[in-house]
Amino acid sequence: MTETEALTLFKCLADKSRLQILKSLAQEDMYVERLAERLGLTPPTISFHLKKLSEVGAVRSYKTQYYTMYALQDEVFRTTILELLMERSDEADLQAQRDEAYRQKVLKTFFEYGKLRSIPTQKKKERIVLEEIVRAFEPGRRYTEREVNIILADYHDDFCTLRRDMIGEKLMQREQQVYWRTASDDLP
Amino acid sequence: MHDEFLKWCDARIADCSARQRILSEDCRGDEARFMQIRSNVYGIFRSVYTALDGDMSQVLDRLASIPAAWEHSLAQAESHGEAEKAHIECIKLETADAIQHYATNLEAKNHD
Repeated sequence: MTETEALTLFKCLADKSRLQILKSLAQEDMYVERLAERLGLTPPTISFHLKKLSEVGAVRSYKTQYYTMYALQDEVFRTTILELLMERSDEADLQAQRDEAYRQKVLKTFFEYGKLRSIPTQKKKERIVLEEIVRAFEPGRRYTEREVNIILADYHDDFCTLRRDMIGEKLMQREQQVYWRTASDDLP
Repeated sequence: MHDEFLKWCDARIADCSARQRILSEDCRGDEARFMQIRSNVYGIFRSVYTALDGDMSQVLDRLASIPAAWEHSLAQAESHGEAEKAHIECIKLETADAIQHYATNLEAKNHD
């Protein structure tokens, strides 16, 4: 279900009469007059609501000898809200653009002529800054702690904090005083 | 001028407003909107009546001519499968019919 379809469905369901119709149909398939009698609404009003519910795929109809019967479209209601939230957003590209603009803004604020003015206190901003610094390390190459310190010192005097936070953010890994840049595939 | 007609229209409008409020509070948005449409139709013919200085025979003429356009819209909406618009036109026609019924009875009573 796309984001637009989900929005249309929720808007349609946000109506007590339509919810009552669905509740009735959850019990058994019904025809317009039966629903009207049961819910105390006029048949035209029921038809109007059923049409709206059909449009969003919440109900389906089928003909019997005398009546057009309406039934719940089960598949729509089996989708969990979590599944809808996990769907790729229609605005994903736009969100990515906004994220990139924010990233550039942070970099512009904290870097001056390739040097770090200060280490950001906000974790999200520090992460952006560290992601930029980690590019100075070649993927796959092993570095001694001294080499790491020299590279980091080019960015900021407090290279110890940078080194520690690189490890903390899992942008670099360390084993027995040897450091290497985390493969982008291994990043969280 | 028949004050009775104006009073009747005002009572219908007030009734529609009260029902609309209840429907809105009960999360029945579309039905509340339909109630507003009913109220508007009563308002239209109340205005027509006032504009025609209470000439009921002319009001009855308008009660035939104005809904003719709605009948046309209904036919158009039905042919294009626009259920919501068709339903709205039905409500307007139904309300106009109720007004016509009342106005005809009132006119007959006054001629007796």
